[in-house]
Amino acid sequence: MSMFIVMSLLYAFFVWRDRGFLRDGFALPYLTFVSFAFLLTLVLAFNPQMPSLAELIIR
Amino acid sequence: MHKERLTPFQILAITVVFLGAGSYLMTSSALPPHQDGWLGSVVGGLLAIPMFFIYFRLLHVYPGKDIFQILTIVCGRIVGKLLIFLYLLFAFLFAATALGYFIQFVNTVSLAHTPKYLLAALSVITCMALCQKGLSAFGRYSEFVFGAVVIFALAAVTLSLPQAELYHVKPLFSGDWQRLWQQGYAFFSNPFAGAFLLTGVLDALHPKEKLQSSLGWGLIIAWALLIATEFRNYSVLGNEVMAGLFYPSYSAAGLIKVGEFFQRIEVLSALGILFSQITRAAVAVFFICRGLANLCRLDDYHKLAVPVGFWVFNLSLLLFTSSVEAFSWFDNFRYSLVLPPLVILPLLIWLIGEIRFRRKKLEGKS
Repeated sequence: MSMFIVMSLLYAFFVWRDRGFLRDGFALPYLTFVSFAFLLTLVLAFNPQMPSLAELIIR
Repeated sequence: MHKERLTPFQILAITVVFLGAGSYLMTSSALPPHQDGWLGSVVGGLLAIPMFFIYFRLLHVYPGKDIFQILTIVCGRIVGKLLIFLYLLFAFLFAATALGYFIQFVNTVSLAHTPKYLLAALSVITCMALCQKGLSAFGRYSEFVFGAVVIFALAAVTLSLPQAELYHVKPLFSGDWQRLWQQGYAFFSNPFAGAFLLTGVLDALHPKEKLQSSLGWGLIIAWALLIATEFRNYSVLGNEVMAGLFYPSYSAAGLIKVGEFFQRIEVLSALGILFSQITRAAVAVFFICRGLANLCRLDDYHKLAVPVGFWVFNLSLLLFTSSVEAFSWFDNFRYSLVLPPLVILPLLIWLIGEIRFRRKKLEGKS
């Protein structure tokens, strides 16, 4: 839960700080990239026991 | 847009700090223990010299162009863009691996109960800030950490001398050549081979400045530090002890005791690892942002620092869950993830680029 709160705040802060870029016509790729990253962070935050990529690939 | 510039000393500092990670974080424990193991660092550096020559020639033949423009010029538009895309994937993996190693290191040796995501987030924020501020800021950061990395490494080596036992490394050359080659290749693959990503920032040196001396001295200083640290590790710990350690440099520095005053010097090694791994990740983030900007035809790569940083954050947490996995990952992919993108492809790109450059020169003369 702490990861969810801390990372949500971090994502929100950085997107707010970069709001100048969003007015430059760069909004769609920027928000798509960040949203997918945020989704992955959510998955990581709520599945702490997830197997790692190294384990999956090497096995 | 104003082109960002790095000074020759900043290039040297970036090269030393980038390669200096090898002095602090070695993976030799995965190979069979042998007293000649430290000689692998000598062989690894020898293998790196031709690769550094290739990187230098590539940037020298096309002055003022970055590696992404060179790839497009040499290989054509479609193949060039495909190669840039593949290198971007590699750089993502490289940045995540550098941060993953650092997180596992901190988690294993000292902050066992600190959540890994916090360590990853703090490291990634540093990389994102460096990338957003640009190459000039990164150059100044490297100048600052260069002194720290070199002084910490030298201090850790010289203060360990009283603990060194030369019988740990004698007799020399008692193993077979195949073992020496394997050890040398291990040192070449980490840290030297990753230096290809440095080409993402090296073009910031002014074309009138001499790239070869900065790059060459950077390699020599980092190589000397690596040899000194490895010799210290083997002579202080011995190969049997080293075989059971993940972080021999940190453990060897932990044995330093100079009177009652200087103790717990291993914190210097930990700081060296921190600076080096963050620099490695930052170089990879620069590479990714500049490459993506080239692919997407953006004029300003700084805008990409935040999205790229968050992806690197996720990947660094996804990649490993323990030090064992981190080192077994490296052992499993020592050849397949290093040879094709960092040795074979740069060699081919350089050969094609050199032939085209000479042909153009001849045509110009005639």
